[in-house]
Amino acid sequence: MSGGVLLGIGVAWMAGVAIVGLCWPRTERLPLIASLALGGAIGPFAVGVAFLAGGTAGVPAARSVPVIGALTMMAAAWVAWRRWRLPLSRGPRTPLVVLLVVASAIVWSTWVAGRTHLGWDGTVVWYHKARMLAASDGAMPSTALADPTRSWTAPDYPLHVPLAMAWVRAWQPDEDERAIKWLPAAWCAAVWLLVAAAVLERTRSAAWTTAAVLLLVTAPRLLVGEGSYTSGYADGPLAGGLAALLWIVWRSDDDETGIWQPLLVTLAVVVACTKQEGLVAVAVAGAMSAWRAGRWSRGAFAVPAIAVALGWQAWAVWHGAPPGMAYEWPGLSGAVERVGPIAAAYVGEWLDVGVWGGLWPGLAILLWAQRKSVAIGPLAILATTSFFGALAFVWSDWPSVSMHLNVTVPRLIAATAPSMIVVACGAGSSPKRT
Amino acid sequence: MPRRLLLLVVAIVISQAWPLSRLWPALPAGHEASRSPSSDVLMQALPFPDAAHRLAAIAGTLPLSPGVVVAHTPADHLASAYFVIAMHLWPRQVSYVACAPVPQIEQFRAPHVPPVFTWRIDLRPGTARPVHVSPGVPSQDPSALCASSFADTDRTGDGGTTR
Repeated sequence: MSGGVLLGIGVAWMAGVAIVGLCWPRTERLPLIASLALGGAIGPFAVGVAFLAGGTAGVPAARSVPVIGALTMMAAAWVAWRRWRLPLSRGPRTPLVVLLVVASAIVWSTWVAGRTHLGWDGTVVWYHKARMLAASDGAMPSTALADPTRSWTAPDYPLHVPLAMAWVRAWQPDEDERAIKWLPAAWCAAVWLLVAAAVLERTRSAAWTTAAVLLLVTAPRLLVGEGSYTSGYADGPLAGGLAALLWIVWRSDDDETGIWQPLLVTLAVVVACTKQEGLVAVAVAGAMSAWRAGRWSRGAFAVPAIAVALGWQAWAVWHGAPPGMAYEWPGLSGAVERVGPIAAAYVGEWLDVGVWGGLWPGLAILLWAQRKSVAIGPLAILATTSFFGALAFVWSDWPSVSMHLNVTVPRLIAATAPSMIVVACGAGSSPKRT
Repeated sequence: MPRRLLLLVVAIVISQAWPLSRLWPALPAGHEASRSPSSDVLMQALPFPDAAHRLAAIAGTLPLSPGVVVAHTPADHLASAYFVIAMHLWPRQVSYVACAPVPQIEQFRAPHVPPVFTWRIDLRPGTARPVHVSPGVPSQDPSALCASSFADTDRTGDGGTTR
């Protein structure tokens, strides 16, 4: 049962590697670990979108899935041949200790994923939509969006995770929720690879890279429970996509020619189509990049992503989907009263060593120790995105704001953990400080 | 480098050892017998193991017209079970009636005019037959739905029962 699923995930990953090979600047060396990492973050979304396009055009899954698979293989071979011919010097090899630690991390998180479940949102929101998409040959049936008895599925939420799950479901002869867990395991692997690739590229240090990966894979909050990376929630893919976007924003800081724009646009679309928080992060990243560079074109990568995400929302609402945003203005005094509990929820989560260990205090100390070399741009994007995430609780229309905080704050923080680790550890011994 | 690497690794392992030791017992051991462990977990209040397989069998007996899940409990107790049932019975419209503390249509802060029910599924946790399927609904009124009984039932062999 898992064989077909693994093949489907392999095709998805290969599609991501091909897209990265196309988007990565031809003047820059593309390390294998970076190619794999970014490919894992982009690939499942890419094949999901292709599946959606096929289904929307009326192509049955029995035809669209093998065609997408075949096109992926041809594209990957062509991109590999194209990059192979580039006259670029071979860079340093990835240190053995890094490879061993990342491989161990992947085995560990895959083992955990095999023993845990999709979780609440993972099942009744994301997998639910994946089943609809798969049963409709990849198309999103508009009747499902407008179904008044399914408003609890948040019909207008972005489709990255359901599309990827639907792609995997399409490779199963019979439904098997256990086998779907290979997909979160693959996303997890992509996150570990991303952190390793980003910190290694920023620091050239095996020690910092090893420390960064170890910090992530030993945090129970990221491994087990609702919203963990091994569950079926969207927080894992969002965390990976956000870390990738910030890394490339950082890397392209001194890019005057726009050679990183294709990859930035691709990553921004992935992030904005994963969760609504992703749309906020992309908008902030675009605005701050433009502001820091003093010209709007540096933030232009965010425009297509915002257009795609808002376009989906508009299409969903047009087809009768109720807006899923659970927010309303509580009045000035109500808003002021909420500031304290919101701040307390964030601080309490950061200091909860029972689920994070020493990760957040350790990162705070690390950032302070490396304050002269820390990358201000990515850090400001993360801080601003987190600020807007916290601010949203002021508008919460949940009957109990504390319950909303309890449910959501751990996941918001989990989604920023890899990015923060890349920023903090990437500042160590950095050859490309900003 | 090796010395710094060693120091970093030791520091991280020490800081993470305690939370990791708490994680270990929380992990279920081995593989589930069912192909739908995620659905099964969300339906464990009934309980209703192998939910996907059994709900697929139930779906085969129901028309594609709208129906209702009647929980003979407060709404929150069986909300997750309702969500899983609705998921597996797609594309049918599936409404939710909770019988306690007072019978009411529940749509989780998104009120709507429910469609006309043509079948019903009763959920009674802790009983011998926690999931009971009835084609045909005598009344659309939540109070009547909660008050009606189903003494004349036959086993269907799919884990649920039908009238």
